[in-house]
Amino acid sequence: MTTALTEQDYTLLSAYIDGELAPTECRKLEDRIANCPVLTRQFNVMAGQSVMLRNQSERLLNDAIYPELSQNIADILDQKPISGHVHSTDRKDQSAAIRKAANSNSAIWTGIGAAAAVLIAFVGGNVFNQNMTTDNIGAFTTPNAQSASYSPVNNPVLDMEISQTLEKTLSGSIRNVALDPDHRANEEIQIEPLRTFRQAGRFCREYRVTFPVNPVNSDGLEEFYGRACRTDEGAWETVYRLIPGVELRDADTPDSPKQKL
Amino acid sequence: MDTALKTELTDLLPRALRFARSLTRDVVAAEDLVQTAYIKAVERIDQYEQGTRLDSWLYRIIQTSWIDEKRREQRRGNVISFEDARESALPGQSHGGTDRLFLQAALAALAEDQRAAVTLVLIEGYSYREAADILDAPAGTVMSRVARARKALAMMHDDDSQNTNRDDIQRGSP
Repeated sequence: MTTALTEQDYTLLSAYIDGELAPTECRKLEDRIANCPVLTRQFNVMAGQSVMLRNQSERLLNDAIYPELSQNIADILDQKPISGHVHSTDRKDQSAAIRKAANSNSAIWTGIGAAAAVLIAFVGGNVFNQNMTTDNIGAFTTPNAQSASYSPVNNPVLDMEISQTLEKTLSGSIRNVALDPDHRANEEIQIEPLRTFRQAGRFCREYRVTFPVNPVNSDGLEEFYGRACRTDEGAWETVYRLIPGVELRDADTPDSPKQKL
Repeated sequence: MDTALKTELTDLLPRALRFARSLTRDVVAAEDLVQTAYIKAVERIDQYEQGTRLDSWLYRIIQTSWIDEKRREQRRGNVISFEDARESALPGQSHGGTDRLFLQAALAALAEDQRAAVTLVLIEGYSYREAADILDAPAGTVMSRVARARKALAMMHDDDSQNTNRDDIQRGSP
């Protein structure tokens, strides 16, 4: 068991999160993560920060671009003379104000940050390789799914919907699903694949699940992020799920590292 | 320049601006940098190989334009030392290390080479090899920069978490 991480550990964790490790190195590292609370905690923090950075940066793309800059770029591409760079300092405040007003997502993230900015990463089945299934094509490998207590992030129906979404929906497209088969609650959950990449020879996807304003659960959960990888058998295995606003538990808490969702 | 290429370059503007912001840490300087890069892109459009990634090509121009700009600034003597910049940019929020504002400030506090690598790999989704091509550095160097950046961010996370008074946090409301 590791008590202090080395530079090499950070490099391996980082490359693993980025999907840049060779399969054999992946397996070795996964075994170590499974058995070392220090490594588990560091993985949770690093993976969580990566997801948050990527997603907050995606929102930056929605920021308004100052019209004069757009016009200048258009002129440059048309090889017309431009009036000059957009760089006067008095425009800086104006530009920032426009962006602030235009970025409708700011309030959400500021709210999350102010309310509870700690984020948790549950390390799930894939990392530990305990939940391989061969007969459940297209299904999430979620242990104890049948006995799981009802929760938005611990719900076998949602797992199945996420699995189907990852199987069929393009990144950036949103799939609306209802956990209540009778639609009595009349509330739909949105599942959005964010990106697709290869890790250790498998296709992996990151996704966001957004709950309605009045969620069906009593936890008041607004959204969570996840990563899952597709097995050769077609099952999607959870690598982790990240819940903004949930306090990070100590990695040596008995149920924390092996939490299955 | 053909219309399709022009359209593609226009569509890349938000991402180009985001990358420029990560390099400059300044909105206005980023706008300047992007315009400079687009001018160079038009001048060098014959060097672009059809069928290759236009975004990578544009990012490489942004990166080299930024290096040129910094060299000019050095010659002019108008440079804030890294330590000064780092001091002013260190995250001040006590939000447990994963809040948006914290991460933005923490990202700004990274060394520039690490910030560029993190932006390309974590945010833009490039592989180490692709990022290395853009940054004109070996892939192993990119891997090390990303790892060091992640370590630094994680350490800031730990420091920030320790400073967080959780009793002051009201959960569940924006």
